[in-house]
Amino acid sequence: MKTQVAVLVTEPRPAARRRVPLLTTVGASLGLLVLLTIVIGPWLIGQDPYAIDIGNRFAGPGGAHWLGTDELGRDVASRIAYGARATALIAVGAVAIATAIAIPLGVLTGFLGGWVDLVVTRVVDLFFAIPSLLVAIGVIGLFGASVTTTVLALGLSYWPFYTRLIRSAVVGLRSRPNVDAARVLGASRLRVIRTEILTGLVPLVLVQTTVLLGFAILDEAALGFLGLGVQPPQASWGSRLAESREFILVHPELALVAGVPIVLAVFAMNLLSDSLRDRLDAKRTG
Amino acid sequence: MNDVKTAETVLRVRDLAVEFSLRGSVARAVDGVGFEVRAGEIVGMVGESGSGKSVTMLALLGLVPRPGRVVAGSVRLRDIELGALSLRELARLRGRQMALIPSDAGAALNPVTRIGSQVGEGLAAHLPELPRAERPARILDILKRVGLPRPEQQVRRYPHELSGGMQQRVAVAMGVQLGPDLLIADEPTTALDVTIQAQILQLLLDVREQSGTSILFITHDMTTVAEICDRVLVMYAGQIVESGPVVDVCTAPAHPYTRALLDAIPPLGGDPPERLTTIPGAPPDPRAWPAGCRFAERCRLREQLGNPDKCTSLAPELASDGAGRRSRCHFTGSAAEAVVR
Amino acid sequence: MLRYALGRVLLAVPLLFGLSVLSFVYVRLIPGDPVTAMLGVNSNPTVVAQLREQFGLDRPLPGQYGDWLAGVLRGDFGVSFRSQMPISTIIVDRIPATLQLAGAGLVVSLLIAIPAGVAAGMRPGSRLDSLITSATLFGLAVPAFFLGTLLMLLFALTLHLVPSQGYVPFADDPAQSLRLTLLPALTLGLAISPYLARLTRSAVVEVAQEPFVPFARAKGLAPRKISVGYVLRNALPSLVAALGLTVASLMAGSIVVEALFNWPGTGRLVTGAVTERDYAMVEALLLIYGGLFIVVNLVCELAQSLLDPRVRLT
Repeated sequence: MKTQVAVLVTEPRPAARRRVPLLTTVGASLGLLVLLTIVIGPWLIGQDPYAIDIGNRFAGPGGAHWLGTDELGRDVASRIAYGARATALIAVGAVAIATAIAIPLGVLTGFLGGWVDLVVTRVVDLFFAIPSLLVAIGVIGLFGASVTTTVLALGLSYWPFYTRLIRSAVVGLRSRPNVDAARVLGASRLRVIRTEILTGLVPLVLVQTTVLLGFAILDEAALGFLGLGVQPPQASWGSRLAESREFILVHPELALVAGVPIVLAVFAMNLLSDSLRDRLDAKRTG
Repeated sequence: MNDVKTAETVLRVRDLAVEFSLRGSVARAVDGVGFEVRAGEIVGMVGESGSGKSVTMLALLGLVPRPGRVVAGSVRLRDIELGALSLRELARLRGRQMALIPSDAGAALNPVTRIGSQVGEGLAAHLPELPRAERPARILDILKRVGLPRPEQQVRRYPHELSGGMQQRVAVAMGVQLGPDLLIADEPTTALDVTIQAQILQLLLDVREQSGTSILFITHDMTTVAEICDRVLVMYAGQIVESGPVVDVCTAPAHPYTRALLDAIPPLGGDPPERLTTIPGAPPDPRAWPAGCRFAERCRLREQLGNPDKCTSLAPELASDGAGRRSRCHFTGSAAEAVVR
Repeated sequence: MLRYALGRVLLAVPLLFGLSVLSFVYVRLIPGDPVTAMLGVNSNPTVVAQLREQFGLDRPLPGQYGDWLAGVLRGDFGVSFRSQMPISTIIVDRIPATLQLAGAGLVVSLLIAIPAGVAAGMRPGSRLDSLITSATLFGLAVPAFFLGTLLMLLFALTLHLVPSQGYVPFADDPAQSLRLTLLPALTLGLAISPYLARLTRSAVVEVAQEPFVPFARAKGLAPRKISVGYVLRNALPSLVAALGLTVASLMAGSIVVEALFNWPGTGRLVTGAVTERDYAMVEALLLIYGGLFIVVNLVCELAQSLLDPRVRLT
């Protein structure tokens, strides 16, 4: 009699890990698509995003207007392509501001500890207590809605959370043996920060940059939708939403077309940050 | 329990093999393990970490975690072939016919559930016909049986409010409350102080005495095996390398690995030895078991025999001596032993 | 436990105080003068002076703050620069609508996120897990207004199952009120559930690694009993704490959803006050939203410790 094969556990074997996961490929392709839209999109479409043609309002897709025209007869495709530039600029600017505040503050508090840490952490807690969209709206309330305020508003609404993250990472890095070793070998604080702490932060900052870029694109759009972001007629993904919102009951397709690039761009950022995190985690655990 | 040898077989394992496939490579953590446990018997399973003893235990319970998988063999409890059961039938059997006593009860008890209701979960799952009103009495009864002091108070407590020894008693209570045929004790004393260890071992002996439960006792400690087991299985590199009655194995080990394990125990009484023997080297990689004997690299006997080719070229069989002892070594017993002495 | 609770409450007090200072200073940060900023540079100087006096803007700052805070503690947030009505009256008027939306949205998101997070977290790395994880990554990329527009297009404008926009107080017409709540609540709930599902998943993954989970299996307990009574129950404390932080997304989301569905809640007040430069109103709303967030998180932290018997002794 043959030996009976007992399969006591029915879970399927996981598929062998592919070198590059499918989701990373999707994310990278979408990211590339967005990048192409920003760089060569306006040129490729070849339409003026500000040319009004009242006689040709709400035209469907086709002909010279790939995605049709909006409520003023402007070319939707080129408004999205030009808008992509503005939105990308805003997102990058906002992340730069948040990073410029978070890294020095996080490193300072996390590395030094003591009363500096205590005071700054309390202030961060305070700002953390206000939902970030509200912080952004508050800033816009102060200076009025514009491209510059949107950058500032988003940058200022991300720093509390980012500072917390950097601080706890620095606290973790500070207690590593290589930092102790550097201190024992007589390296100055500044040198330790430069060689051990800052280099140790690189993975976290890389991941957070992609995460925050995604947030910033979403929030620029949300502010635009509320009429508090980039103001029409200036093209941006957010202002495009503000324009389309007025006609949402009669021409909801305009709002949908305006939303699709946002979804794709943010999805790309989420996929990239997720696979980046996986990869860096894998590296850390060996 | 003196007539263990003639008692009926409770657990019969044949050619059990478990594989873990990770990133393209396959590790055969358990490779052709076969043994029996008879009614009322305490069988020790000894081995270093990574020897396959824990995976064997999980395979018996049908709980090998992903990505591991039982690829061959048969596990038979009384007359039930476990491999033929559905997941649901297997779950119904676990905790009732076959129960586990965990290695660290403090971590294995649900931290947010009171002791009483936690013990009651097993009753609710396996004895739904038992009226709810009768559960508290059953719970107190079993806690009394395992010697938990003041059980009426303990049932209302949370696990973290109990001492380690009390937690382990609760875990034993959960294991024995439904009168299982087989108790699997997974290093049940490693997390405890020495005095408490002795109490828990005594408790296991009492359980066997009272209800004739068979116990598979998993440990890395030869001393504990010598204290409470009737028979012992020595595992190395996913295989059983020696098995037999505890007294025989401990006094005259047949396999060089068993001998090395015994040599590593500090002797009681007398002068302390100059140095304890340790086993040099590390166990082989389960993703690429060596062709010959898996212990060859670390084997002192092989060295003393002048490194015969047979050790590295031919895998030894688990040979039986016809009197209940088995050993997996080309040079076991007679001639070779004589040469070394 | 009582000491722990008291300590937590005491920690929240300076935070609330800081928030009040921040909201107060905020309005005084406005370049130039709030009244001029509101009325425009070419406004009548006598009107400006009159308004400044009315709002107490001509007095020293600490005095202004003291009066303002005393008023706030009595529930008096002053008068709206714009409508000249008491701010508290305006806000109290709007609160039921926002609570109805946020509550229903939270229920929707919990119904989606908890099962999804538990299913994914119980078997990390499985096919179901990667499916759910990818879905949350996509869900995080879908803005609430986009989702809401889609739902509106589908259920209101195409299938005509529910009205597209509007609000009726629940007390006036419960059935119609619920019908109108459906789409906004679904939008808000779907928008938040990816966050919540991810939080649930990571809490569940952590608990599922604890030795008591395989031991529960070895005891032969039913899978449902294990995932609910063991895994979810032990993940609950950290989930409740995470829920407190999700309130921020709930607030932000409701501002957008209210705008999309023309829902007369406090979120509309926020956007309205900022566009109309009604600074006293912005000040009050910052304080209320921030204060609510602090209090909700305090409650969640206390609930977290109540749910974990191990905290009680410390």
